[in-house]
Amino acid sequence: MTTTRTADAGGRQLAMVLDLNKCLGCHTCTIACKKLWNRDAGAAYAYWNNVETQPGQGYPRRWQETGGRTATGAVKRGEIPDLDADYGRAWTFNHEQVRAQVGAGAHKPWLRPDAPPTWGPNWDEDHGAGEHPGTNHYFYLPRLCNHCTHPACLDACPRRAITKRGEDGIVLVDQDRCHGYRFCVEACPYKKVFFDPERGVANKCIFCLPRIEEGVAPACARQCPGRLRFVGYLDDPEGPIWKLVEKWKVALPLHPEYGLGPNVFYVPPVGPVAFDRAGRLVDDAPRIPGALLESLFGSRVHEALRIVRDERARRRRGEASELMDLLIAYDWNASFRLPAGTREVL
Amino acid sequence: MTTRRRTRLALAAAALLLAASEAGAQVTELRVVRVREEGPFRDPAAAFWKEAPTTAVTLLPQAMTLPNNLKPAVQSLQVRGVHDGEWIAFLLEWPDTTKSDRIVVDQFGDKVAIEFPAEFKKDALPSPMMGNPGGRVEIWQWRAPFQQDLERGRPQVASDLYPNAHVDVYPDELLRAIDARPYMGAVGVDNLITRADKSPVLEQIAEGWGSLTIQPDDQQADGKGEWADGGWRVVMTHPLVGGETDVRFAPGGETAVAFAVWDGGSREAGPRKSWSTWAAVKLAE
Repeated sequence: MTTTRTADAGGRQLAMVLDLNKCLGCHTCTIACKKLWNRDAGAAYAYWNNVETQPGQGYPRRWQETGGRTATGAVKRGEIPDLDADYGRAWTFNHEQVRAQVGAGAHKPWLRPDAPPTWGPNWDEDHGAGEHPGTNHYFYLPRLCNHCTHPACLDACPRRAITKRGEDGIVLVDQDRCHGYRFCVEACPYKKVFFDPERGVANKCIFCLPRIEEGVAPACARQCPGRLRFVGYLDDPEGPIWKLVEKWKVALPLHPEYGLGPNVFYVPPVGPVAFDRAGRLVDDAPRIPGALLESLFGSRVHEALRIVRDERARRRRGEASELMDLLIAYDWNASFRLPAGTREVL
Repeated sequence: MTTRRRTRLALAAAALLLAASEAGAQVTELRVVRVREEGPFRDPAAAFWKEAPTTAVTLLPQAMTLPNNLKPAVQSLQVRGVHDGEWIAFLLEWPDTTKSDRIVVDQFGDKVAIEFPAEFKKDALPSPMMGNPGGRVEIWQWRAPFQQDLERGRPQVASDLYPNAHVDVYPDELLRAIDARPYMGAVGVDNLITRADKSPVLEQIAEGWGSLTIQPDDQQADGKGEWADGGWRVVMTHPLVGGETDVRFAPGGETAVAFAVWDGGSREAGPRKSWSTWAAVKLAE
């Protein structure tokens, strides 16, 4: 069970690009996804798509610290995130107590969690890092399954319940073959496979497969108010993905060093510049540290940032910029390039 | 799997089997006695089990394929067998200080499995490790969480985790079943793993690693497990002659049997288990 089966897929690859300069952290993508696919009770904690703050621990907590591949390409035995410490249980509140006290004297208890909460989705939202004012910084990182070229989840599944479709590279958990062993949850270094304890099987982002087959972009992308998501085939020179990834080289995979070949790409955030002690903007001092961005997107991030800055400057000077026109997404239909629907409607 | 790795594993498997057959002077033999009581036999505490001799089966770490389990929790099983001419049953006993019969996000259930060659040929047994292409095995697997579901109803795991969660409507409440299927995941495709309807035992077939498949239309195995005094006593029972694809037993006949155990408390699942090589089974007339 190595990459052989992955390589056999061989065909085209659907991909997504997210421009982190435009993400406002509204979580509309997450809600769009969850309302469409994840309303099952056992998937309550599962976020096929989530938006987390960087720098931060993310969701599940510490996801960047486990899983992936070893230097020789073998699947690293990762960890299943801890229900309490890493995913976090939902909090319950003292509603009854508060309701009972209404109008009963001066003392009215605050509405508060029954037990002191220690972790949950978005626990560290907007925390960021740095010193205010001057160097404080954070940015939003929306995450979904990367539909990797060499998926660790696929290789880790002894039941061969995970497949990578040849025609579009979408990675799927076969809901009929899955026996709930959770080796995929262990192995995925992005922690984007979730176990449904009610159904006893694992599930993950399906790249809105039924929509794709109708020529419609995934819900997270279509619903994004910031228009920061682009969807199409990686090898389509007329499409936005090829232009951003291959031509302009401004869109980079998350944690390329994991070696899985992620097919979700990010335009790294330029971010604001720092203030000096006198409160003046310092042109050459970006607040988001280069080292942080390099730890997420690899060493190519500096060149990508330079290109974005140069094209922004070009636009400011009133010159034309294909890259800026594309990233601004004047016509949001141009953000998605998918063949018209071919699905046989039942 | 790369060719090199496949070869390496095959060689390792051959070496192990050779070692097993050299030690084969003491191939474990399990005698299945005939009892007067009538099957199906579901009671692990029934008196007739005392009539059957106990056979100790050594369990090995699953070290042949990934993910492996070099330090399994359970190292041996005590096995007894009975039949009544219609039904056969096995009683399996092993120590387990943690009863794991609930599956949560990061918790696993206890399980035990019995494996038979689909077709018994004394000189050409399939690999005891889930069979091999052309060498089909039949596997009955008892699952503690399934039994818990049957006895006490489905656990509301998710509502325990998310007590205030509210589902406005499920797709299958609004749509035709065929239209709701894409939203119903494993439930929509009738994956038997999602529920235990009648029996805590799943009948499965395999022809090698990665090929284990639940028999879709032929689930006749039944059973029951009891956890007490730091150990499991589990019965699995099946008609001597079941469905067309089932292994067939006959009074006075013989076949081979192998076992596997998973300790949920040690997060054992799938290939992360302890297993035995083939033992001989002889049924009394």
